[in-house]
Amino acid sequence: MRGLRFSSSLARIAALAALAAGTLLATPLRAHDFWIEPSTYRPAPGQRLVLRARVGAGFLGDPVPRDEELLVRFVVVGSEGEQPVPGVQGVDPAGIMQARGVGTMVVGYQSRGSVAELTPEKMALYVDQEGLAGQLPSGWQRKPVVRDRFSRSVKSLLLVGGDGGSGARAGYDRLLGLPLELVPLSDPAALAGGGALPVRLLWDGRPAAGIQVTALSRLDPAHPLTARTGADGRVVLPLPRGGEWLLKAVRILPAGGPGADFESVWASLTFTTSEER
Amino acid sequence: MIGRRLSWALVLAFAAMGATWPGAASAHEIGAGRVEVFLFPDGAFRVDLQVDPDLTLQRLQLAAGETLTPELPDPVLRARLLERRAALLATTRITAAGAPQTVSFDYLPAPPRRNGLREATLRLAGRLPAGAGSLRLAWTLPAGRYALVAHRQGEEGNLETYWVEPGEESPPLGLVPSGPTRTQVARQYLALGYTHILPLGLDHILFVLGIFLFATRLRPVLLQVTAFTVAHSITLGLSIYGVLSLPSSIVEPAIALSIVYVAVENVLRPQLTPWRVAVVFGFGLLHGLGFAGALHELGLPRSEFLTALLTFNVGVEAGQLSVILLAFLLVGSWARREVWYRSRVVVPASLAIAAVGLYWTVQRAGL
Repeated sequence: MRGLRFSSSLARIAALAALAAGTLLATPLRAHDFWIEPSTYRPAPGQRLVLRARVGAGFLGDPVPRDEELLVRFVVVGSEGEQPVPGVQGVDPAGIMQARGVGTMVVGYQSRGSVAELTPEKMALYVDQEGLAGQLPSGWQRKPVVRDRFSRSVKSLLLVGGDGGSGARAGYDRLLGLPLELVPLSDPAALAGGGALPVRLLWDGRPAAGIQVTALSRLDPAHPLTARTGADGRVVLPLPRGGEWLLKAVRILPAGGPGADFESVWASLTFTTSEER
Repeated sequence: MIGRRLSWALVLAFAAMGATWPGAASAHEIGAGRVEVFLFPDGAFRVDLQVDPDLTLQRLQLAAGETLTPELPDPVLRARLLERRAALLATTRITAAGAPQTVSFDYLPAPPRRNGLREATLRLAGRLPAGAGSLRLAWTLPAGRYALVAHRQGEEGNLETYWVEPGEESPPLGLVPSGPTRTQVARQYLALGYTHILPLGLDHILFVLGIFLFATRLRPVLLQVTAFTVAHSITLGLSIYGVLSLPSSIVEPAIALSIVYVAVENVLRPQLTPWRVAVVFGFGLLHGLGFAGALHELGLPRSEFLTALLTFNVGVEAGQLSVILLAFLLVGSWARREVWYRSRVVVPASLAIAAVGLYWTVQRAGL
């Protein structure tokens, strides 16, 4: 009896230690993904909704209040054209909007670059995570500090007026002209139970080849899908299930000017395949 | 006067810093995370981590490879988070005197959902080891830069805010904003005392010159200076400790009048009498009150009160001796033995000093 109790408490301690170690190990792997979470992906026509900016990893984000100083563009584009997304400086949610027209409305958010200073070790982690090795010239590992000017090119897809058939869902492939842009080539709203989603990645409007695209499911963020774009900037993501998804891709290149070693653009796209999350 | 000028310079310096800093600081995505650190005089500390409990639980689950359970009701969330206290504690690191600190852990329930967000408090508490005056905090849980609000005098007093990157160590947070050291205070108040005489204290300069012009020999001058010093030290001390107080509307004209008296006596009765020393002593009492007024305006650091008082007085003393030394070098050293010294230096200079003193008396008394 005594021995048994001892071993069970030992197991408990071991489990706790493993948990703690898991947390410690997991924390350095924090990438700074950035995405938009609308209060609903399926607004009724005329419905007001809020757009929350989120930063984090594993599709688990911290609120990012609106910062006009960082904003280049925050818009929503639908069948009735483009409208700016208003919001209150320093407040989360970053934007509020009203659903208009029919079909898909595309939310677009573009931020100004800001410089992050990273140790080569941290840089190596994010190079590994985002599959950036092929995009980078060698030599940065020897720098004491790597300065990366990063910016965001973010989209979110809303479907106004519910699922009214394929004709009513047009607009999911609308181009916003963001520096790095993820464009679904088929309608994600049609993949209620999951399925293959072809996506094109554009850099400055042209196909971006050889870049890793990652897809995270809200229901299972621990198991992301990754694939690399082909020469035509195309990638097919076999989504194993429906629900809410976050797609992301990072383009990095040597910085053109002084003040940074690299410039990176972080693209993301959020949508849901079915009713709600 | 100096106090006001000094504080304006500080205000301007801070304004300049403020104008250049926020631009740089806000260039990043600043999250909504917040930590409040309370430091108490007895060495106890409390760290309140404001978190979204739902998000926090999911992050821990993700890190541990468990199934995520979003949108749980608060009592369940609380239980799940308390089960994971070890994992939660592992996201923080509190160090003092270079060593990690053990802390107690508590979960304060989330208030009702506000604006679509839930916020609960993870409360860590502990005590600084003996001899440690500050702690540092690192926290890996938030994804973006978070605000660290330090309350360095318990729940009272001022707070300071720092922006800290997740995983990085905060600056050391001391119990009280680290004040100047004794040496710094001594140096500062010595300088303040000195400059209160030279070059800022023209009235005191004229009074001391009046003493200097009184005699050509060292002994009478020394006697008077000593009497003056002892007297003003007494009233400066008494006044600063609040034992003695006279309104400056009386003290300031009286100081001016003392200048007139010394200068006029230089002309009319140039012999050292006990009476002269007594009068100078009396005037010293007055000037001490004047110094106290100036020192009040400058402010005294509470932690180094006596140091500041003593060094200010020493500075005043040094200023007076400098005036005498300068006057001696400029005029006394070569002219004091000349037959015309009295008629061409002492009398005209004393009359001029008396005139200025009289003018100040009238001006300060508001006549």
